[in-house]
Amino acid sequence: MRPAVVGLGAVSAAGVGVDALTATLREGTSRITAAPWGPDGPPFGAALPPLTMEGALAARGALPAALLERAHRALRRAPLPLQVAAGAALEAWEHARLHDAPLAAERIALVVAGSNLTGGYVEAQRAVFASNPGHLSPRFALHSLDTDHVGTLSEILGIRGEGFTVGGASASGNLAIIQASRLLALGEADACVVVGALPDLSRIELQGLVNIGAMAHRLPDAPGRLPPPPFDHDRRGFVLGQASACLILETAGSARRRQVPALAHLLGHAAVLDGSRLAAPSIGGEQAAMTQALARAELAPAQLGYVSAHGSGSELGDSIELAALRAALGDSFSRVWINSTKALTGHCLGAAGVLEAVATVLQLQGGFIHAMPGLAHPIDVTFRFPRGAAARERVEFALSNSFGFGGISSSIVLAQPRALDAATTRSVTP
Amino acid sequence: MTDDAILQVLRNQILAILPELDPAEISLTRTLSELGLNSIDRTEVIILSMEELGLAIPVHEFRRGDTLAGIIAVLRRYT
Repeated sequence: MRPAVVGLGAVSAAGVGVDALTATLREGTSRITAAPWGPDGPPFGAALPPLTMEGALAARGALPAALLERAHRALRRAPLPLQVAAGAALEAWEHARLHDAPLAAERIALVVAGSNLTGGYVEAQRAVFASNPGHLSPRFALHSLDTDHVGTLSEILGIRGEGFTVGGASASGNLAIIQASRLLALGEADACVVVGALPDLSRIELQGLVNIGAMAHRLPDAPGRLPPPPFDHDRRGFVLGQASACLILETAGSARRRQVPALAHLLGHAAVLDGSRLAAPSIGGEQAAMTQALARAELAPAQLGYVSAHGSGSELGDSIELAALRAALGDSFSRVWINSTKALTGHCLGAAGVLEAVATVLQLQGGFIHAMPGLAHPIDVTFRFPRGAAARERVEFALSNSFGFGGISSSIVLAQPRALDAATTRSVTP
Repeated sequence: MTDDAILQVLRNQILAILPELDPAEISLTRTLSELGLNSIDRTEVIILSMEELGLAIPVHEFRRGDTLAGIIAVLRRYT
C-alpha cells in the first residue's frame, strides 16, 4: 500500500503557493529576518509576507466560483491561520484536480497537523473578556478550538469523510501524514487532505520556549546578526516560521481511476516514543524511526539519496540527529545529501513536517537539493550538506524527519513516481 | 434612543458580517436567519450591537427566530 501524493499547497514565508516555495528552495534564499513581528516578538523569524484573504485566494481563479464563494464566506472574518490553511488546501485541491475530477465527498478524509493551534487568538480576546465577559464574540467558542481548522476546511472543500487533528508537538506534520496513510490503507477513504496548521503562539507560549532555551537568541555584541542555519557550529536554537502547507494523499487505484498523476509516492513511515516527557532528543529513538521507515519502504540505506532533516537549529538536537543518521545509515551517511528546510522557512512547529514533505517532493521533482545558506562551519564536515548552492541531483528516494518534545521521533520515506517499480525489483528483504 | 437608531446599529453590524446584503432588505419585520445569517452570525450581531450600545444582556434573553423588531424590544428593556 503505497499512496500517491497528488496535490501540494503552501503559504509560507516564501510567499503564496508552491511555485514561490520552489523558487526559494532552488535559490536557497533564507526568509529569516530580524524581529519581523516587531520589538515585542521573537528576535528572529521567517514571517509570512503581508497577506489578505483575497491575496491568499487570488491565485486560485481556476477553481469553481461556488467553491471560492464558500471560501470567502467562511474565511473573511476568520483568524489568519484558517485563511492561510485554506489557501494551501485550495492550491493542493486544484493540483489534485479534486474540483474537476471529483471523488465522492464521503471518500475524502481531512487530517490537520498540530495541536494548541489557537494560543495567539485566545490571548488577543482576553482584553474584550476582561472589559465585559458578555461581549466575547460567539465565534470564540469555535475559533478557540483546534478542530475549527477541520470544520472550516471541510465546509469549504465539501469533505464528508473522517476528519480530526493530530498532535505530536513538532512531529505533528509527519504524524498526520502517517494517520492519513493509515486511513487509506484501511480503506476508510480514497483520498486524504493533510494540512499543517500555521503556528499561532501566544506571548506566554513563546516565552516558555525562550525560557527552556529552545529559541534562537540575540548575540549581546551583535544583536541584529542573524543566527547561522541548523547544523552550523554556531547555531543558537530554532527560528520560528509561519507557514501552512497541504499534501493530498490518494490510493494508487483511485488516482489511476481519476487519471491524476502521482507527484511522488509515500513508501514507508515510522513513529516511535522515547518514553520520556522531556525536551531531550535521543539517538536511539531517532535511529529507530529512520531504520523502521526505511525497512517498511523496503529500502537499503544505500538507495537513499536525500534526507530532509528535522534540523531545528537546536544545539543538542542537531548533534543528536547527525549521530542518529550515522547510526541509521551506516556507511551511506556521508553519501546522502542532507539539509534542513528550516534554514529557509524557519521552524513551523506543527506544520513543519507537512511543509518539509511538500519541499521534499518539490526537490525530487525539480532535480535539486536546496542549499543551506550561511552554513560556514558544519558541526561535522563528513556529512554532505549543500552549502552555498543547490546540489543538482535527481534523487529517487528521500527520507524526511520530524521530531517533537516528549520523546516523539518520526520519519517518512518519499519516492519519485518512476522510482517505485525499480524499488520493488531492487528491494532488500528486511 | 429611538427604535430607528437601534435598527441602524443592528443594520451596520449585519452589513459588517454580510457586506453583499442590500441595506434596504434589513427591515423590522425580517429575522436574521431570513437575511442569511447563521447561528454564530446571529449571536455576533446581537453581541456587537450590545457592545456598541453599552449593554450586556444574557444572550438567552434573545430568542431564535426573533424579528429585528423583537430584538429591538429586548434591547430597549435594558436601556
